[in-house]
Amino acid sequence: MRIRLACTVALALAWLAASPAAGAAAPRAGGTLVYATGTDALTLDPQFVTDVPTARAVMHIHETLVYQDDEGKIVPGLAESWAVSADKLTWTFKLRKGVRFHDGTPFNAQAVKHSLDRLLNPATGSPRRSTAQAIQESRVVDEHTVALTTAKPFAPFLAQLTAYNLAILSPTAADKLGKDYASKPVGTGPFLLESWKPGDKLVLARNASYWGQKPWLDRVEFRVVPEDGTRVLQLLAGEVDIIASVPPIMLKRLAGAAEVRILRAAGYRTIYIGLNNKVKPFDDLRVRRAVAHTVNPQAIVQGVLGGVGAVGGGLESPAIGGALRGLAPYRHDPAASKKLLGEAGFAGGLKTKLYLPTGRYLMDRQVGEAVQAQLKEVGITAEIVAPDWGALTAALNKFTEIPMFLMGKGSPTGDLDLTLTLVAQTGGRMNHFNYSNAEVDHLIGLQRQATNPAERQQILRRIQEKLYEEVPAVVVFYEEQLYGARSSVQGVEVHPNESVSFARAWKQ
Amino acid sequence: MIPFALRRLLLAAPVFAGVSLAVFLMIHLIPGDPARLYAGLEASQEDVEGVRRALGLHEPLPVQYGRFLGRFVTGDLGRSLKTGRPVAEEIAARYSSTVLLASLAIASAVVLGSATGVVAAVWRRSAVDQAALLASLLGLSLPSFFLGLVLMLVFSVQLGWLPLAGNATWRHAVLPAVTLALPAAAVISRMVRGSLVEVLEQDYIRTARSKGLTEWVVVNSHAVRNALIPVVTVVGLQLGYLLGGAVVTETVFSWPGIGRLIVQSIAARDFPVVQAAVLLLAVTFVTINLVTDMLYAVLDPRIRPG
Repeated sequence: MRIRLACTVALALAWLAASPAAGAAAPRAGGTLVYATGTDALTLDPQFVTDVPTARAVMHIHETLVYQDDEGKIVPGLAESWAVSADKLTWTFKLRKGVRFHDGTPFNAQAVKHSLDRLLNPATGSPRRSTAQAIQESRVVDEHTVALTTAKPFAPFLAQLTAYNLAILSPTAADKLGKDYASKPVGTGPFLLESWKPGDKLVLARNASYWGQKPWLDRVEFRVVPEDGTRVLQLLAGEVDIIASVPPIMLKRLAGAAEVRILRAAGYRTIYIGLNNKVKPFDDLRVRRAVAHTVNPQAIVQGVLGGVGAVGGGLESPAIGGALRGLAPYRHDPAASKKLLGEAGFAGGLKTKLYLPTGRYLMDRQVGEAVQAQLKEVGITAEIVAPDWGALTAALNKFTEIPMFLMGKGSPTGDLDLTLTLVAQTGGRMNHFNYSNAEVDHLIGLQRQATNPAERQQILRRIQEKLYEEVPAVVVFYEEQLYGARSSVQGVEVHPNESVSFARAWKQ
Repeated sequence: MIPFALRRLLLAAPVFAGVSLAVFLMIHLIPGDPARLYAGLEASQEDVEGVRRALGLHEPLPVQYGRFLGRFVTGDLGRSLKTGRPVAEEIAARYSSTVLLASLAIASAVVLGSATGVVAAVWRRSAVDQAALLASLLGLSLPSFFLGLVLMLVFSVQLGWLPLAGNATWRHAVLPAVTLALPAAAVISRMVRGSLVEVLEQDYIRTARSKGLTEWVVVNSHAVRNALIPVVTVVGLQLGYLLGGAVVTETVFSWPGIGRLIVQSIAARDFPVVQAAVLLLAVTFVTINLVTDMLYAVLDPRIRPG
């Protein structure tokens, strides 16, 4: 099932200057891989996952019906093949045979239906119930065939099924354990849970009866090491095998160590400066464009992030399939900015507030301070406000309180429908810039039902061009994922949706 | 002494009630919606409302507080909003880690602090005294993240004697315990010195000396015990702080203690956990104060508890 990641591996390996390619040496079976991560998993119930570090643990234990490769192509997972009806409303999936959950329960159409019904049942209380909302009915056709029906044609349907919230749970375990499933998960994945001490470590063991290629490793340990510097020291000392989120300032230190190498991979996450389109002075397009001409992404990526991160002008990361590639940031041109500000009546400069999260995204505070300094050059004085995440989200959710903010958005499904609906549609949950354009709203609705891919692509293109022209936000950079690994570690797969897989990893 | 202890614990009941109410109000008054924080920024409003109902957060605050109290008296602390795990489980695991670390730290601090304090008092105004003063100042003023990192660099990276982080074996506990012990030892050392110097200038010490007792006997049998009362107070306070968890040290050394749990739970507005953890700390403090008061009586028979 991990064919989908072959290209990621190739991509990651391209960065590994001094190490042999994964194919060069024969993989060695056995051993424990120790992975140090900044935050612990919150739950092991896929239907309750709301963050990436949790998803990373959960998706070693559970699997989805289909997966998406790095090119955005849908590939088989627990479903071997699928077909859609002529009216584009019913999707029929042929399921893999001979698959069992870790508790011995057979995987079948009933299990798929059970998982989806559980997620959709309000009594379950899932924070991600709406990821399955497109599914109006799931029906067991026979032991190994399941039919899912949507109310309207839904173009991103298969991509939606790759979402970690839609992974399949053992119906027996889910019924028996209820809420306690969160700490005793039972999936079909290549690893099963051996032990978990929250806040400390989570140990996964090889699933010896896995249906696909069995993992090389006997065990994977997820260790919680909150401090960036400690993770780096542990990697250098060989206490751990691989670490997540290497801070860019440590790159040089790691690059100089022979026993360690860096894995870099593109990501779906965009970091942007949102401008509230309904709040003065950013309700004026000229002011938003002036900001775009002032913020200098290249300088920020080089100066603040040590070259980690990609630069571009589109709100959607070009790594996402269907994203418009080749959009450059607005030309860095302070003179043009001042002219635009003058036209908008701010020849004498303006004062505003820039809200920042702290420690949420890569170097968020420092990036915000760099933006503040750049804005100062054209007479925009932005006072920095950095409340804690809870207070910041409460203020953002009022949609009228915050004029300017730094925020990031990823894409768990790698399909533009999800992010455009969230950030660009009027009233979208993450449309904190209050962007509203009737044409864009119409087009977002249209692409969702456009089952012809070429036609859908055209519509998506139009939406993204419109967003680029109207600057609801200024893109600062697209996050790049940085892992540090011992040279002995091979076969780790880093996906641009920020998941990481150790299913094919091995140690020399 | 037992009736005294019981009476004190009963008197502390309003303290616990006050603490729980204050925590409950505070976490609801600071901005931040627990349901939204749990579901995430991208969650639909419908999902957030679903979560709110599932977690019982849709009810008026007095009702929620009443429910909390009702469960609390039956020994049920509820479930964490963030992880769905029982709060009791969540806290027990973290608190035991904290108790282990705090005990190690306070024991080392008492040994180190008393030794340097006694030496400094006996040879007061000598070079040894000056050195002890300087060491205490350093111990007090070095921030723990810096001290922790320096210890790591020396003992783990350079010498390779001890592991960097984690809590799998006793060796993992050494560096964080030392990081916590040094500032506590500094405080104890200054207190021991000050208190002992005062005692050593008392008339009965002069009498003891003029009887021809050796300085060793004078200090150990006559002076130290009488100098202990303020020291016991300080040790009690330090232990209280240590049992409250040390966020920075826990973070640097990846020690899964209660300090980190509380900070993360506040960030997530996970009030069942915050409330239970803060109450636990309140109980800890009250108990330590009580034990300290009882120790006074043991040390000085003139003091009667109550």
